[in-house]
Amino acid sequence: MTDQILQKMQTAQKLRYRDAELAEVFARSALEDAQALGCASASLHFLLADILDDLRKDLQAFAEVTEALRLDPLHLRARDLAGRLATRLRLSLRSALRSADDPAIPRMYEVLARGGETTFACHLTMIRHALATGRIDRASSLAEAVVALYPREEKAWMTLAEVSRAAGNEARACEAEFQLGVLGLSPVLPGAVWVKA
Amino acid sequence: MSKQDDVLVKVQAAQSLCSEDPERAEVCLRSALKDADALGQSSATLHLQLAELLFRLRRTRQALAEVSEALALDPFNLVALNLRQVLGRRLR
Repeated sequence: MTDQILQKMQTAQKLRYRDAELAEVFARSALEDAQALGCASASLHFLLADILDDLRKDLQAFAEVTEALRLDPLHLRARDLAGRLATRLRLSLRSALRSADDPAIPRMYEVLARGGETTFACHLTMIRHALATGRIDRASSLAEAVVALYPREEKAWMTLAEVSRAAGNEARACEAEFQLGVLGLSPVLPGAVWVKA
Repeated sequence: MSKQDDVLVKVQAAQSLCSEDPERAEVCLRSALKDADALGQSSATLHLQLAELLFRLRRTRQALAEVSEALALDPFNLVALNLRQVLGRRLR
């Protein structure tokens, strides 16, 4: 079985520049065989991620490279690939061409979050999606988490006010607007202490 | 800078040193391995990098020990498998 896995990996490597789709089939099959044997291999996940990157299947590639890095956190080529993929995915997630209720948003957000690659803008996009699809509880919990993480970001408080109002929590919306006023009236000075009212 | 970043800096330093000053590269890699171990991390590629360096320094037995570590962590690392074959031939 081990020899079969190695043969499939070698075939995937040979094929990747001629027929990347077929290479993907071999790499996936090798990975499945290894998993059936109870073997974890960063190399297998990285090979598949690399092939998926060639095929521009960014989301799947990022999921695989994240797994490779979980198994081998000092895999430098995997780190490079993860960085490039995360940049592309973040741009795609926030694309103006994407509607707020696009079903791809939660998938992309979750995969980026698992790889520790979400940013402020990613969180806001996910909150917008939760609002647009009527998942008010999810939007509220995310908006609260975002103001805790980014208390100096006006947009974080604006979003919390909007989400709280949508949830019927007028008191929390007013608190968020108050914080927004505090931020707006007090310029952020280096070293200044931001006092929560 | 986090401890993880420290380890990465050492690995990158070793990569850039390995052709001009392999002895210093080895020091960097061994230090990175020790730090990674203290963080509870294991890395097949780090052991493999050290094995390749030791191979070039003709320290075959030590290289073989490192490549075995790499393969214990990642049994399907093709580069490590090839290197093990080459090292085995050199020892015979």
